[in-house]
Amino acid sequence: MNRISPEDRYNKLMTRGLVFFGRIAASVTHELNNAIAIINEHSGLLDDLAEGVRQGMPVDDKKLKTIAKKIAAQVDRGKELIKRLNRFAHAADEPLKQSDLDDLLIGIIELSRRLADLKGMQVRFEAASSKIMLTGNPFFVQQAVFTALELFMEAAEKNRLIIVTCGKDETAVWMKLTGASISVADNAASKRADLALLMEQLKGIVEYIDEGHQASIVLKLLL
Amino acid sequence: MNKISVLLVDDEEDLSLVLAERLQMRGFDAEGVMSAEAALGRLSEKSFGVIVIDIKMPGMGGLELMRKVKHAYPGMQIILFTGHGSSKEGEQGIAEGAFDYLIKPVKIENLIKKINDAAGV
Repeated sequence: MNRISPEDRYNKLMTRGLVFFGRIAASVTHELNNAIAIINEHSGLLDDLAEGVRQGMPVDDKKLKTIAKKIAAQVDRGKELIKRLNRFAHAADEPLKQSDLDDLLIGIIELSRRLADLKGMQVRFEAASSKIMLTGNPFFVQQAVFTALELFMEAAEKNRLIIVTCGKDETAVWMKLTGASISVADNAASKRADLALLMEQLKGIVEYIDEGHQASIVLKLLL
Repeated sequence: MNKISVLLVDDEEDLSLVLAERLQMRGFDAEGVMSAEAALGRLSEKSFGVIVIDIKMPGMGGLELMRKVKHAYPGMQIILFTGHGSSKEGEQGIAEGAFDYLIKPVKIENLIKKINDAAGV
């Protein structure tokens, strides 16, 4: 592997980190915009119904309750999205931090959900049997998992389901993503290079496993 | 005067159905469906004057649906919905034959004006 200077490595990590941050922020704000659009239409529908009442049409209280419920559901959706995005933004606060691995993985999987949906792909997380605390840069860990997810998202063969598991053994804390296939397209090479760089920064390694009928990416953070 | 028939395609069910209801209240023959596949199914059963398509949808995306509709129903007018920051895709849609695009959320008056313009009313 070609060694790169610390300065080049830093610049690369910063650039890729910004791209990652932008992708997540764009996806979440797009979803937030959808929630606002739905609230906008239901508020408009209430206006329409009020106009009907003014013209002597009866009020359907069940309909009003349904509209209120729909608005409340979108407000909850918006709150959840903002909470996740805020947590994600704070992941970049401290370069070295103790984090609950389940929380980190759930966070990035949820933030990637719409992007995966657009590719017709579902991501399922299977939590570890016991709590695993991770010491490292939570932003880079999430970026590494996202980059691995992208390699599945961009595979020519459609990945309907990606399963994410995690665990800890004597040598490492590991995260494993398994699906039907991993992208081997031209841009996959640069993503693999990004992933290698990130794992190196996290003092870890990345392994690719091809078992024919399925493929896995294992991210290991060495203890 | 015949009602303008409008098909709204958006994977956000609560958006396409409520917009359809609000258009019905204003005299349009409007329906909502939640996917490109469902839209193609509905188009094979009924003719619509205008189709409003969200660009970003799971599975078959809005631009792909637009191309299929343009190919199968050349006379049908297409309006695209985009989110903020996706206006480039809206412009691409126009270049490929869409009547216009609107950025969500929309004011119902703006949507109606665009539908009427597209239908030549």
